[in-house]
Amino acid sequence: MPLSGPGETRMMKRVLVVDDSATVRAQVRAALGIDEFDLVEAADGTEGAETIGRMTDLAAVICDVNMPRMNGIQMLEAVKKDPKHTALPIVMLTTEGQHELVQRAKAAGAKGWIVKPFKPDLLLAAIRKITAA
Amino acid sequence: MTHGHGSVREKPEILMTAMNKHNLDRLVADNCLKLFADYKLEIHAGKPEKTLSAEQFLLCGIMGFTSRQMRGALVLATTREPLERTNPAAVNPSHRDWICELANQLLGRVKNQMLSRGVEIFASTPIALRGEHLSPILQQRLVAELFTADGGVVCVWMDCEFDEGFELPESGVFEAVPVSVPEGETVLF
Repeated sequence: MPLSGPGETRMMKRVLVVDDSATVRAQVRAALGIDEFDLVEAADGTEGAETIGRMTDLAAVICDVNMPRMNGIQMLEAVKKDPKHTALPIVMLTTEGQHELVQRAKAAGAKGWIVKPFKPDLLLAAIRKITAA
Repeated sequence: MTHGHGSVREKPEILMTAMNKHNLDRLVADNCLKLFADYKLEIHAGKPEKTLSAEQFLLCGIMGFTSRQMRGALVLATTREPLERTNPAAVNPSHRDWICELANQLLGRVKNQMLSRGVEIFASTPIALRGEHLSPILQQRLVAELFTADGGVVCVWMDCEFDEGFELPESGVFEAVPVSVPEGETVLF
């Protein structure tokens, strides 16, 4: 995925968004834009964990908490158990804001927490920051 | 004059339930206004100028919930315009998906604020129903909060049962509110 501009050639960063709402996934896609990030989607924690296991070039993951099959916290904890994914930044994007859940995610290795409805500019800034090389 | 066994207890219980319902309705209505405002759609409490028939409500999003002290469901119904105007980025918008997500976000806000009132709510997966010819049969009197927006109507209500003796505080009573990230905020660790 080369991204070429005047005098530069760089790669688009691949970001996985895990949310059971197709509408929210579309909103995240719209917020991040099509020029800077290559967005990959998963509809629940199980699908998200499988995608993370399969793709070796993910720059970041944006993950909902309440989802069917496997919730986002369970996915986070499962993924972070694998030393291969220690450095992969995972940001939780959810309606939940409870201190206990936030602390549990932080302890498991989450990079951030965003409470819906998200502000597109803040999401973009956060993803740019955590994917900055 | 004699009192039946239940008569001295029933009245305070009925009053308490009515007060709980009133407090809960206010909380839901306030959060509904704020949720739609966050999506850049101003809605106002009040009935629309024209009478709406049930057919005009496009979809209902329903979220069931339980807690130790209360249980019930939140219902959010809207006409087409508020749904579309709060989701302008969608290329092929799924109204079903979006009404579920809005109901989820509304209950999420209520849930976070109920924590400061000592109530921890556990929500179910949202479901959607087409609004055609649907009308609620509630256990208590129907208190649907009706909001109007430019070109549309939003309706929300909570159907809820409370445990006997439970009193829902009018506002937060716990100083250390266990909510660490407010709506719309981004926290990086």
